[in-house]
Amino acid sequence: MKKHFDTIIIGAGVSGPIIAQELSSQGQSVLILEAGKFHIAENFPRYEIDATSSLYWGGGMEPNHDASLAMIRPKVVGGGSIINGGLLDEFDDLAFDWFKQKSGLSFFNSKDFSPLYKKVQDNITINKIPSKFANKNAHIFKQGLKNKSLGFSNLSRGQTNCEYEKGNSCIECLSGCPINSKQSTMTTYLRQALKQGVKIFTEFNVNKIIPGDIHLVCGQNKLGEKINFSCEKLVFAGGSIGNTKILYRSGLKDFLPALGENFYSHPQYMVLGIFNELINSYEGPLQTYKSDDQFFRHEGFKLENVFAPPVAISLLLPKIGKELMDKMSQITHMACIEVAIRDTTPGKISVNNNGKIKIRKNLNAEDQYRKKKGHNLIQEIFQEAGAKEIIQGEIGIGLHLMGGLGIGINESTSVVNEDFQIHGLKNIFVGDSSLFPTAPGINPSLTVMALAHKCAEAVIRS
Amino acid sequence: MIKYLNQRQIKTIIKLGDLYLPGNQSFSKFSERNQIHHIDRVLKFINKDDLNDLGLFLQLLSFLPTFVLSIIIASASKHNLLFAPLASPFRLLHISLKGLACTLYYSKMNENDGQVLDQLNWNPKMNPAVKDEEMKKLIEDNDFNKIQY
Ligand SMILES: Cc1cc2nc3c(=O)[nH]c(=O)nc-3n(C[C@H](O)[C@H](O)[C@H](O)COP(=O)(O)OP(=O)(O)OC[C@H]3O[C@@H](n4cnc5c(N)ncnc54)[C@H](O)[C@@H]3O)c2cc1C
Repeated sequence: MKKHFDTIIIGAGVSGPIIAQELSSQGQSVLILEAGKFHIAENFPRYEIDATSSLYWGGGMEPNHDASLAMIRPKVVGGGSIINGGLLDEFDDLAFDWFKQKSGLSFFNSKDFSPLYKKVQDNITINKIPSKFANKNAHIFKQGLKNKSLGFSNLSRGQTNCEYEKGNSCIECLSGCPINSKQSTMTTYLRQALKQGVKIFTEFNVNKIIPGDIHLVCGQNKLGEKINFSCEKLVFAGGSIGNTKILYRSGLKDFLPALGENFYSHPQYMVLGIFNELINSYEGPLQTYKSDDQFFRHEGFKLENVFAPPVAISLLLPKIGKELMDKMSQITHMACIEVAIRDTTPGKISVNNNGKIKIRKNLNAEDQYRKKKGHNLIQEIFQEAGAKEIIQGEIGIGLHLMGGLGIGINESTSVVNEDFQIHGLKNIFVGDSSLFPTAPGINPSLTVMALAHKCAEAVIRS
Repeated sequence: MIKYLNQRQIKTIIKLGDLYLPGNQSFSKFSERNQIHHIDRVLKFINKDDLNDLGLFLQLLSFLPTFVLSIIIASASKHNLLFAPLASPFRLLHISLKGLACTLYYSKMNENDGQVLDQLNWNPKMNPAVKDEEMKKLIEDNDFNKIQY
């Protein structure tokens, strides 16, 4: 087994495969190290028991300090793109302005990002979800926004053809798309990268790095055997928590004061409406419409029209005993809307003496206010639609994990410089969601992909 | 044969399961669903430290009578009403125990286990999985995990 590479990339999630594909197309030898398993269309876990426990870190979720938020962090080749909703949105000027302000970097603007978004579109297929397959959950949501004179639009999703006319339900793809329609980076960029000769080591957990002229990457395979690799250039693409953990364990916190700081997650709170009529929220596209109105941008939250499989719904219901079972028996009569907050309180990721991560994340008064406003709006939408009962989910979830290794010019408040290299560490790059200097309030993954392309350019340039 | 818990701990999970999911007119109770032998499918992926804590906690609970357990889980389920220092551990306890019970109850376990989802009328459809021979070959050739080294 070859042990030395031009570039090693930690993480084969949304961003890692993009960087690998770009670098290998320039003739570099590249190795990706990924802790998760390599699943392909025919062997994704098909039952919720296996999907929840095997495709995520911590066996399903990692709680914040007071267990009020469950962080959902993918651990699988393809990362978030395997298990996420696949919704792809470009940043608006507001989001770019916030990024520019916080980082001090002028390339955060729509003009500079337009060719990067185009690059993504050259590699994956993005389609608008057609209204004609919208399910009843989506109709309730759309009508609710209409009644409030709030704008909405059809969602853009990375997918080729989900064959809804055959009755397919995209809720099934939350544990990986079995028909290769969802445009995961596994089936798109990584496929190309592997064809170009990129090597990958799956079920390999990176523990620490030793920076130098030649960098050492230390970790262990699934049998617990310790193996070291070396490289000229190292790229972090392990996500906010993954990257922070490795750098902490490498003893670099003192060297990087902002490591693990400025962590955001767009906290999401689901609300279920129970109706007399059948809703069958699992049918067809999981989501069809998004709230699309400047009102939401100014208020600092958005509404999302979602649903989840039975185990997840049972956990959201704030009930136990017979009451829980009675509610669960009405699952096909439930609709669901969630409020996703653009969080203003940065959280903090750290690692304790046992090497375990700690996530400190609160909602301040402003964030609480946003949550409440969103809840009230959902309440009204469900009431007007005739819901007989409205139930707020028991805990919040963090799906959009961002920051921790923020990009910026100030070394005391950021971790990564404008060339995507960690301050003071030569040829160690970061190319994923951990770069985000603040919360954009927009689905992050399209911009994560754009940043991965930009990071690859920086690696090649260096 | 369950690998990660002993008999005492398993019995406690079943007791707790029946408190979380005691059955109603249409659905059987947790113990009658009889899927406890699948618990390793969940526990296998839990961090070692958390698994140890869970085992220890179950061992402790195993000495308590059912009515005390029911008070504990009822209090834990009211975590949002508790004072901050108490709320966090109770919330965590609630999520973990309810999570285990609900996973073993509401997940389908294998092809022949459709009963609960059928009863819920939960019936999402999907075309059969595609065969991706190209990717299989790429993995065989390029994944160190699959290559003998
Ligand atoms: C349920 C869910 C739904 C979502 N829906 C959407 C959506 O519709 N639209 C959207 O834009 N975004 C969505 N997101 C968010 C989106 O998926 C993330 O923003 C995106 O995945 C971040 O990409 P990344 O490359 O930074 O990290 P990831 O995709 O998380 O990849 C990081 C990879 O690094 C690996 N790794 C970490 N640590 C180590 C280590 N020590 N050793 C080896 N490997 C390691 C991980 O296993 C993982 O595979 C969703 C997220 C979730 C969880």
